[in-house]
Parts: sequence; structure tokens; C-alpha cells
Amino acid sequence: MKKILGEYSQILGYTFTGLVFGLSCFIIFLNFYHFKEVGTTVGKTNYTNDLYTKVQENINQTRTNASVYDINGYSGPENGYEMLSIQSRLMLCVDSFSDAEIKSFFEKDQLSLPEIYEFQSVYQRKVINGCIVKQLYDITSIEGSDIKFTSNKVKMIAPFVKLESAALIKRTEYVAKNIKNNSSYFFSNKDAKENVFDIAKDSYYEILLAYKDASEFLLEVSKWYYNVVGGRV
Amino acid sequence: MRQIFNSLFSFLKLLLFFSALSLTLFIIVQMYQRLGKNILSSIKVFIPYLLIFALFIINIFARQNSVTKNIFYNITCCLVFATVVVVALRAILDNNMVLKAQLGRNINFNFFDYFIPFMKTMLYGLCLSNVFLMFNGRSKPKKEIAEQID
Repeated sequence: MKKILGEYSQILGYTFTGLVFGLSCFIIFLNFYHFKEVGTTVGKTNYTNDLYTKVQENINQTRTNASVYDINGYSGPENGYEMLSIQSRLMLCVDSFSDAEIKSFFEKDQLSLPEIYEFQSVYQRKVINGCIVKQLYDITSIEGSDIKFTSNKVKMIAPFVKLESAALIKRTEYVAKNIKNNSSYFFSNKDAKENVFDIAKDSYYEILLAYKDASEFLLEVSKWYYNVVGGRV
Repeated sequence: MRQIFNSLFSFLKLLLFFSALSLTLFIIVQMYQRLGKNILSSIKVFIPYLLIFALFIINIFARQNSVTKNIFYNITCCLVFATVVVVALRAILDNNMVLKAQLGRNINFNFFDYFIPFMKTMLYGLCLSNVFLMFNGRSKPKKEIAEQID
């Protein structure tokens, strides 16, 4: 009886050891995989260069459109000070878009996940908060703003600005959340792989596209401004 | 050859045990300090460590050859402690996980916290297998075997 119990005990001992061996092997290999996964970098390509060039063109065009206005020489029907306020807002937006901190991300050949996360933070801070919310979205809050825009032309563009701004404000939020998830093993599971595919590349491209779309939105507003102060609408 | 490997893994087992324990202790103390929690409430994380250490001591002093000279058990112990060391070092050194910088203290507590249940499972598993292997019936004395052959 004692011998049988001893043998059973041996079987159980080896079974548990085997299970623990399997679990530890799984976790250690998962760690190597996870280490490789979070260490992924994304590099510059012709596509990203083209996007950046497009943004630069939009910014330059915006600067040209905004600088056409001169309060001293303006004789149009709109309130000159309101137009001056919008001009300074557009110029501040141009500065936000071509900020050195944002530019530094385009100068790097390779970007790691923490750098892409940082890129999203800078984009959110400079472009979205600094330009879209503070300068452009503020135009639409006609009643609550310190500077009340009475111009009908401003009221005309306000719904467009409101709609586009709302879309841009939250556009890259999920990117930041996804990158934050890379601190857990669940990041590497099958579902995440299927849904996210390549977090570094996809996140970087999403931020770039959002950046380009924001610059196009700014360009649209500047075109409207150019037409208003030029007496074309 | 087997004897050499066994001695090597037995030594490595203890070395990795103390490394894993100290790294876990370091991270847990930092984690609890950050949260402002009483460090004594983290004792449940260390219970399996204490148990396994007690079993190691018993194995050595009671000359439990069925455990101490079990190469598979020794390799598994090394692997488990090595896993703990790898995860703890990644929590401290892997800068590619973005939460590390955000949580302060330069340790990725979130990453280590996910690992704690696995760590407990593995350590309790080792304790269980150690106990079962201890009752493995001692190998018969050589004299008795010789008598049986005759």
C-alpha cells in the first residue's frame, strides 16, 4: 500500500513539475516575443515623405492666404478687427503646425513605439489643442467668446469648423490608448494582432494622416479667409 | 555527468531563487510605496517564496535525494526563477513599454502586476511537486537490493 501511494505520489510530483515546466517555458518564450514586438520601429518611406511634403505645402499656402490681409488697406464690408483676429489665429496655427518639436519627428530615420506615443502627444498638444481648439474652434463659440464675431461670413463657416474640429480632436485618441496597452501580454494575443496588425506602423501612419487632414482643414479655413478679405465671397 | 549537471542546477537553483526573490521584493516595495499601501499587505505575494524556501531547507537537511537529485525538478526550478528574473528585469529595463515612464520610479509596475498570478501559480506548483516527490518512497538501501538479487 505504501509502495502504491509512493508511486502515485511520484506520478503526481512529475505531473506538477511538468505542468510548471510548460507554463514557465510558455511565459519565457512569450516574453521574448513580447520584447521583440514592443521593440518594433518604423522608418521613413516615400509615402511618409510625400505626406510631410503635402503638409508643408498646405502650411505655406495657408501662410500666403492669411498674410494677404492688411488692416490699414482693408476697405471691405467685414469688421476689420475681426478679420485681424482671424488672421492672427491662422498665423498661430501655422506656427503650431511647423513647430520644431513636431519637425524633429520627421527628421528621425526610425521611430520606436515610445517615440510614436510622444509624437501623438505632441501632435495633440500643439496641433489639436494649440491650433484647432484654441484658435479655430474658438471662432465658432460666438456667444461665449471674449471676441464676439458678428460677421455673417464667420457665422457661415462656423458649422464647418465645428464639425471638422470635433472629428479631428478625438481622431488619434485610440492610437495613444493602443500604444499604452503594449505594457501587457494581451498586447501580443491573436485578437490584438488581427485587429492592430502592426501597432508601430499603423499608429505612425494614423497620426501622419491626421496631421495631413488637420493641415488640409486649416488650408480650407485660410482659403475661406482669403476669399472673404479679398472680397470674393 | 549527470551528477555534475545535478550539482550545477542545484547551485543555479539557489542562486536564481535569491535573485528572483530580491528583484520581486524590490519591485513590490516600490509598487506599494507608490500606492501608499502598507508593505505588510504584500505578504501574500511572498508566501510561495517562503514555502519553497522552507521546502528547500527541509530537502537539504532531511537528505531528500528524490528531490535534491531530481534533475528534471532542478531544471524546472531554474526555469521558473529565470522567468521571474527575466520579467522583473524587463519591468525595470525595457524602455519600449510606454507605461514605464508614466508610472514613475522607472519601473513598469503594470507589466509586473500582470505576471504576479503566473508567478504564484508556478511557485505553488513547485511547492506541490516538491511535496509529492518527497513522499516518493526512499530508494531502497543498497544492502537490501543486494540481498534481493541473491
